[in-house]
Amino acid sequence: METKKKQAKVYKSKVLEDFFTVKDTKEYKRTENNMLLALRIEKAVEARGWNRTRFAKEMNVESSVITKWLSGTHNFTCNTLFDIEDVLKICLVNTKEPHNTQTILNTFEIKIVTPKQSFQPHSYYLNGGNFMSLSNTTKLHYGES
Amino acid sequence: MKVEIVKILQGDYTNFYTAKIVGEDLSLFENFIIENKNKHQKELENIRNRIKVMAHNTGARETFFKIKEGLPGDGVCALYDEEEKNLRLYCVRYGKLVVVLGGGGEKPKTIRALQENKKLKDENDLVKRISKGISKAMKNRYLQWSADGMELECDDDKIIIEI
Repeated sequence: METKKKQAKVYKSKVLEDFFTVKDTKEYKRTENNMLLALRIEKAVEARGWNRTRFAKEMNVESSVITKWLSGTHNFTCNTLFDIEDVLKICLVNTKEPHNTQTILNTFEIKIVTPKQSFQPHSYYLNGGNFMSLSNTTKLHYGES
Repeated sequence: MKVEIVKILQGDYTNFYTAKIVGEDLSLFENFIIENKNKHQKELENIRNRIKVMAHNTGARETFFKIKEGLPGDGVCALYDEEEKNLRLYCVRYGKLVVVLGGGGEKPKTIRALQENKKLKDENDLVKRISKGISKAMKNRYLQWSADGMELECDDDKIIIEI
C-alpha cells in the first residue's frame, strides 16, 4: 500500500514572525504596485509573441534596460510608460477624467404571451425603474404591459 | 552535511522554504536576517516586501530575480533589494511556484563578481549544494512535488537531505 506523502512542516520562529510583519504599509504598497506593473508589461510582451530582445528593439533600447523594467524595482518616468503603452497597445496610465454618473438607457423588445391572448411586441426602454414605450407616450410602470 | 527543508511562507502563488543545517538552531534565512538587520534594515524590508508580493500576488517570476547565480540549470538565483542593491539573498527557484531561500550578504560596490567576496561565495556555494541535494533526492524518489507543484513531499515527518 502506498504511504501518503507528507509535506514539509511549517517552520515558525520569533525571527521570522518579526521579519514578515509589515510595519510600513505605504512602502509595501509601493513595492506591490511596482511588481504588478512589471508583470503587466511582461504579460503584454508575451501576448504579442515577442521575446525581450524584440521588445527592446521595438522600444529602441538595450536589452539590459528591459531587464531593469521587468525586475519590479524600476521607477518609471511617465514618458517611458506612455512609450510602452504606445508600442504594446495597452493602457498603463489612465489620464482620462472619470465620467460623471449617467443614467444608462437600455432598449429591448418584450413579447408578452399569455395562455389566452398574445400581444404584439412593443419596444420599451427602461428609465428609472419605469418601462417607457417607444411606440407611444404612455408611461408604463414596471411590470405592466 | 544534512539539512532540513522547512516551509516558512505559504502563498496563493508561491511557497517559500528555507534550509536548516541539522544540529544548528537557526535556518540559513534566519541567519541572513540577523546578520543584516542592523546595518541593512531598509534593504531587508524591501526584500521582505518582494517575497510577500510574490507569495500573494505575482508568483516567483524569473524577472524578479538575478538569475544564473549558480551552475547551468540548477535554479540558483539571487533576490536583491530595490534601488541600491546592497544585499544578495541566494535561493533556488523552482518555476513560479516554489523558492528555497538560503543565505547571502552585503555585496560591496567594489566587486563585480560574487567570487571576489568570501562571504557571498560561501553562501552561494551552500545554496548550490542545497540545489544539488534536492535534485538528488528527487531522482531517488525520496522527495517529490505535490500535484499542484507547490509543495515538497516525502514519506518522513521531516524533509532531511544530504548535501
